[in-house]
Amino acid sequence: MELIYNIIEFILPLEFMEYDFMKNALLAIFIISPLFGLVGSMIVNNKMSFFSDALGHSALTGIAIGAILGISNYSLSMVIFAVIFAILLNYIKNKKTASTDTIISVFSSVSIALGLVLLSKYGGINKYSQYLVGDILSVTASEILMLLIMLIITLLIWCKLSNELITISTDVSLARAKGIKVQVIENVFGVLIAVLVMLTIKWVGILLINALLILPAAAARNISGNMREYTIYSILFSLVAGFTGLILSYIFAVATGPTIVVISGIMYAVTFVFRKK
Amino acid sequence: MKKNIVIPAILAIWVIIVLVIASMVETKRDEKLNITTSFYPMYVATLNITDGVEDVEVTNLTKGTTSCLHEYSLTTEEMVSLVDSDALVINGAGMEGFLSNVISNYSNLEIIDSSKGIELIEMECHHNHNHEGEEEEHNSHIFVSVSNYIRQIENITEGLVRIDSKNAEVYLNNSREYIKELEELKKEIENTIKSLPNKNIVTFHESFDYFAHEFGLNVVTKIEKEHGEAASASEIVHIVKEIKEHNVKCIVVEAGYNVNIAATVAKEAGVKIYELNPVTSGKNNKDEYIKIMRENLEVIKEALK
Repeated sequence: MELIYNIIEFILPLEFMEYDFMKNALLAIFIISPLFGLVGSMIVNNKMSFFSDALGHSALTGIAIGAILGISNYSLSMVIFAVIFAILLNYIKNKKTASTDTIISVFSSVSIALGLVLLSKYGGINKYSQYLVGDILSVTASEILMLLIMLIITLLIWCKLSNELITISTDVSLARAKGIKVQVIENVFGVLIAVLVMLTIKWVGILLINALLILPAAAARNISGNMREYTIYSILFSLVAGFTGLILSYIFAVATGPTIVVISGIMYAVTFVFRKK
Repeated sequence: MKKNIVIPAILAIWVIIVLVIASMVETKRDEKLNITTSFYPMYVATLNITDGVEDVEVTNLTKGTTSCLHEYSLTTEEMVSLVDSDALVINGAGMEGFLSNVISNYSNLEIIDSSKGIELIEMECHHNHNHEGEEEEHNSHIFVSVSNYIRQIENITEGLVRIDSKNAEVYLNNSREYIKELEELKKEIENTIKSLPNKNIVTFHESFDYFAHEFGLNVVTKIEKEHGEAASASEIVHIVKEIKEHNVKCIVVEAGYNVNIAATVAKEAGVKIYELNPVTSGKNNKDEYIKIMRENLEVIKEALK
């Protein structure tokens, strides 16, 4: 860790980079933002923005269940609940009883209500309000390692699944005809999003996590001509917004997460004006 | 494929602009002893103790009017001022939950815990909580009791003397004088409240427990059993019943809090609402604790006469 710190100080000889917490936050952003850019591009392409949003909301229930069971590390109960949530949602969605957005709304609102009910009975929502906005500045070295592992796993899954996911996103019946196990892949992808959202929500927050996932990809979609460009731009936008957001939030003494979202929003607006028609 | 260069170029320019701005920002450093306090009452306490000492700078970490720190999250600037400071004065007793991460990460920061040796009131737990690894088992608003506050002054003074021994004399003097004033305040409150006919009150939440305990006020019930948790319909009915049963004449709320539910209860029970300040916000002036307490006393006199 010491070596990485020294490298950062060497490359970025800025005054505030002397602080370990800024270096930690910077490292975390360098891992989280490409991760979000990559997964976000897949989410947007497969029209699953609301899916990831609902997952973010389900974090509250995961926390509540963790609090009831007395698990000191809420990440565990959150991940388990979110994985079940994602698989169940996919299952019901594939029953095609109602349109996808309706089903996702049902899940999203019920899980947030359930979380609130449980927390009102077992311990008050205020203790967990840090999860609503998140705090990237509190990230520690061991947590950065965990994020790095997450990034590697995501890259592996992406290498394996990206072609299938693209095919599914263009035409589900074509994908089936080609022998792609649509449901299995959707479930794997759903679980990936679930784990990613739950493990990063502590720093990003329930209210903002979806913005960070969706905005870079949406901006990239505005201007890219093919899948390769789209994925690269999405990662690039996410990375630049994260990096400059952290620094600007320092300069103007404002909250970091929201600053990143605002910059991503501006990127979306600019790319919208110059979009490919 | 002109676009292939344009977008990365724009992004690169943007990053460079931000970096240039960043490199122009300079944080000021000085040779003073920087003492950071976690929140308002600690700030006022430390201001009194360090009064007249030239080379000490006291900064309050959580500016603004956050009355409780439960939902606080630090900005980058606050984080820097914290890491830069030589000592951090905290209330302790679980008040600064949001700092636990910071404190464990920066172990070289000198922490002055002012709650040392103060007897804590257990939180009324009517739910079965799992409190494992949590800090908020006790009521942390110890500073609202004058005796506790005096004890906190002593603890902070002790800490400051340890860190900055060359100014020890001044700290001890200041502390002695301030405590003298506080003792007077305490006597005044005691005498006034003793003479009041009805000592039953209903409070909004737990912040006045220590005060009530110290001066013999009887808190019949609280509207918010736990911080941030709204009373349910059945609880409101229960509270109204208790108010009538115990002949309570007033509901005491905290200034600056959303008191819609208190208003509902007050209307239903036919009692009045009075606002007290648990000394969690005010002017950046060292006499503020005593002033606010006197104002509170006036309100209590009016409410319980």
